[in-house]
Amino acid sequence: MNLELPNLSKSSWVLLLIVLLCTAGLVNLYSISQLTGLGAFKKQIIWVLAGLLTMVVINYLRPLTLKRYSFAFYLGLLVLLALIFVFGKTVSGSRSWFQIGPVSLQPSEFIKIGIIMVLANYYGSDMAAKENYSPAELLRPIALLLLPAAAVIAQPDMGTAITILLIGSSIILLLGISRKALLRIIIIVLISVIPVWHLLIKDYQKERIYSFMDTSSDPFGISYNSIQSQIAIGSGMGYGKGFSLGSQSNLNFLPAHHTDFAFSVIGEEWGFRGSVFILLLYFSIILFILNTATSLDDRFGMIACFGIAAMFFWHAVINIAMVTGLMPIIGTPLFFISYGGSSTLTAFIGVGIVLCLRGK
Amino acid sequence: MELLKRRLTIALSLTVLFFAIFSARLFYLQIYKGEEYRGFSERNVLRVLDLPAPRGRVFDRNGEKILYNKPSFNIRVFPKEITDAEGLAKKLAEIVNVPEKQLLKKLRKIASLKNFYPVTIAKDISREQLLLLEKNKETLESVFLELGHKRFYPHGEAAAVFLGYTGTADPEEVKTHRRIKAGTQVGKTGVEKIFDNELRGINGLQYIMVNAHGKVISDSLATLLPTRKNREMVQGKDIHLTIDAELQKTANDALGNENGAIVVMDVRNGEILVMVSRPSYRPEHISKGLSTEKRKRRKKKEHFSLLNRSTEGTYPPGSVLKIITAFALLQEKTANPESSVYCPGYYLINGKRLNCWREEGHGHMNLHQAIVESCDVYFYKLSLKLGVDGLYPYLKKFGLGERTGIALPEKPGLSPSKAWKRKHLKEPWYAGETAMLAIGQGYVTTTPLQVNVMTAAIANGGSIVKPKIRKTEEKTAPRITGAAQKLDAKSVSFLKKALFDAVNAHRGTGIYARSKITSVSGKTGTAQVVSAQVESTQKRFQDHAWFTSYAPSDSAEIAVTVLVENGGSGSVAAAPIAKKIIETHFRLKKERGESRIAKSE
Repeated sequence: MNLELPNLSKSSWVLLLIVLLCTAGLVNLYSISQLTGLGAFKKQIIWVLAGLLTMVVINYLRPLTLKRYSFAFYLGLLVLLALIFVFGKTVSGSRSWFQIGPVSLQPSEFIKIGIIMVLANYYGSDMAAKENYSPAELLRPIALLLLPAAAVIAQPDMGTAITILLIGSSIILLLGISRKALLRIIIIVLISVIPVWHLLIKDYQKERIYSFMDTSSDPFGISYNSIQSQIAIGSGMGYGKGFSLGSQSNLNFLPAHHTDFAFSVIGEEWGFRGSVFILLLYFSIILFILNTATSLDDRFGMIACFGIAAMFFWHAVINIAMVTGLMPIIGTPLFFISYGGSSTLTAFIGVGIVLCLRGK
Repeated sequence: MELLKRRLTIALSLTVLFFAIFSARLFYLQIYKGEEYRGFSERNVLRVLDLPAPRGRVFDRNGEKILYNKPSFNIRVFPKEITDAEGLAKKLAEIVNVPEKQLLKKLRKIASLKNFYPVTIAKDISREQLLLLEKNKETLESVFLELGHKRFYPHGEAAAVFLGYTGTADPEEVKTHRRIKAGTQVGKTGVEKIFDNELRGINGLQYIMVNAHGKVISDSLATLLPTRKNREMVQGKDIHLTIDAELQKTANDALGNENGAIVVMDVRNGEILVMVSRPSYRPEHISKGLSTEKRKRRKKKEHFSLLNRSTEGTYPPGSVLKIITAFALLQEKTANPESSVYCPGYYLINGKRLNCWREEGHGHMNLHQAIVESCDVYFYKLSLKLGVDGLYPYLKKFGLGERTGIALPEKPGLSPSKAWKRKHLKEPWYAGETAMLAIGQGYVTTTPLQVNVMTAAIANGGSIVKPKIRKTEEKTAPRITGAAQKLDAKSVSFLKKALFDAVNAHRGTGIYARSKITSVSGKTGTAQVVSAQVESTQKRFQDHAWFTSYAPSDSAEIAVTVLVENGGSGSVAAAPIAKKIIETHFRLKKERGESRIAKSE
């Protein structure tokens, strides 16, 4: 299959997609402001502007600069992740935030880019090119992935940790992995499941998994969120209830409707039409990035682009599967749609890198 | 490179595939099921009812129900149904006997909850209230009745402290236990708490739909949300205890109006037959609802009636401790049965005078006589030869200062030693304190259960048994808990003779426990509450009365320990109570045996 999408060949197309998505996200935040106030809406405008600026700046960098500083970028973020245990702010049970004046930042979002870049750099040279990699050759990249993942698990922030692991694993799979190595990894994972389950997974997270598997086990709060989200989306029907008319969203039946459940609000207020449109925009961006990856001639750029595509992909898959009731609730934002400074910036940095690598 | 490009193509197709999956899912939710979900959200029809599971019942050793459930009616309301809080408060106030203002505040708070779960307004309403509610049915549409289960205690106060009570789960409990949800009834004290996991059961769950007027239109969401299933409630498990309800009642009555504790144990296997703690409370008053705060306050009160004095009350043991002192003297060869001491009624240590309880003195005493007549001077003098570090290991050997391991909240009491005093009081140990310890005064404290276990060890020939309250299936054979805990047979049989004479000999201190029905052995104790001789008629300064005993003397079956708080002398206040319990036990045994024979015929 060769998906050459001529329409997407120009960078201006992806800019249009992003502007459309961000606008939808802002409209969405505005529509639920009667409940939460305009604070989130206003802040998100600033984040989007800051993001656009960052993206443009990165766009004008030379690809070689990106490559050269990838390890330093990764290392810096790793240090920040460590510092969080000293200076971090705890929000709803997770110590994931730095508070700097009115701004709070979440290094665990940015580390996704760090991991992508450091892995791309590691495998980027043509000398490293191979069909498959043996277990010994995978040791270092896996360590580069697990180090930050472990720090995020310790915060504890399972949702982010899962996306980090998925992004890293996707890159490793892209590069190829010998059957022997794959088998070993599977065995190690299986063996470590039991201690991880007992030591690392918090009770409330177990509750979520239980409640997903046996949906009638807990009415008081957990699968409740999932069912409310499904009601919200389903009740949007074909054309939606209209701007700011979502009763589910505005009567506060929906939890975290400005962050993790933002897509449910769109589903309710804009219906099938609106939600599929957003879905289309979102997956078009992913296709654009993947398309960019195939069009590049150097390994570093290809791997980096693929990693960023994987980041968008997994965020979308987890978030939408979660709000449509196909998966347990794992707190993961939908880039450009969900409110949140760190995730918005991360998304813009990602696109900026793609544009930079793509060249003008 | 080409390989990477090939793999990238796979990623492209995966992306398209997931786009298709999600579009299909959205189509299913919004188009295929859309209308149903729309109805759902518009009418806010989703309600979740929890159906309280009845807790398990508790039986005594003879299969008598000592704790079970009676139906009760609770008034509940769905937060979303409260449209007119003022009106509702006005109408409900006179029915539930709560000031209108207070009720209104509560209803407003409930109404602000944005969820689908009902909240209880009034628990266990009376028949009259039920009738009133039925009469005003039309105007009270938003509230509904829940058929609940309230705990019923047929023996009331007699076993209340031991059995404990239930209450709504604290937020803390909800957080730490997966199975406990907000609003669940959980055991708060005693047996209810210890066996809570088994007794509790699992509440049922029912998803219902209501129409715009709050009326149920369907009790199943099966058509709309196929993954949502109602859940059947699971009744709690029944528990069989070793308690003898009738004997418990006898013991409770025998205490009269006094405060204190009574423990009766089968010395052969550690089964607890009676565990009385007084003051008690009326269980029905508490189970109606006692907040955490109130419970704390009650526990703090002077007569903290929620405390199980048998296991959580620590008292100086007084002369009952002489059993251990005598044992230690014999084992350490500090004394032999013939060692004689002259008791003039007092003993001087470093010029300080320690009195014997008998002011005129006991004259010449050997060890046997010293136990029978409870001579203090004998133990003062010889314990000084033994020293506190000679005595301490025996306190431990008999289990004092450590939890017995019963499945109830328990205090360890205190067995003092030189090391303990240095560590905790930062002071050296004084000789006078050894003498005090030898007669069970000073720092030493014990729970009535510990004294009972100690007595049982003598009664059963030297085994420290682990007390238990739960009846097990296997035939309960005498349990010997390891050779290390087996006490020296010779010393034990010496003590058995002394304890028999303490009740049955002419000058014994326990003569009020002497029985014609069976042979009783025992030891009295009169523990001072205040060290100085406070001339006071105030009840709370009076001595604690102890009597610990077993019967029959030669082949013991039960050990009975009685503690009467501020009861005065052990021989007068406590011994007769033990006698009554022992006699009742053997009378009941005979009657039950006869009725069993009659049945089998």
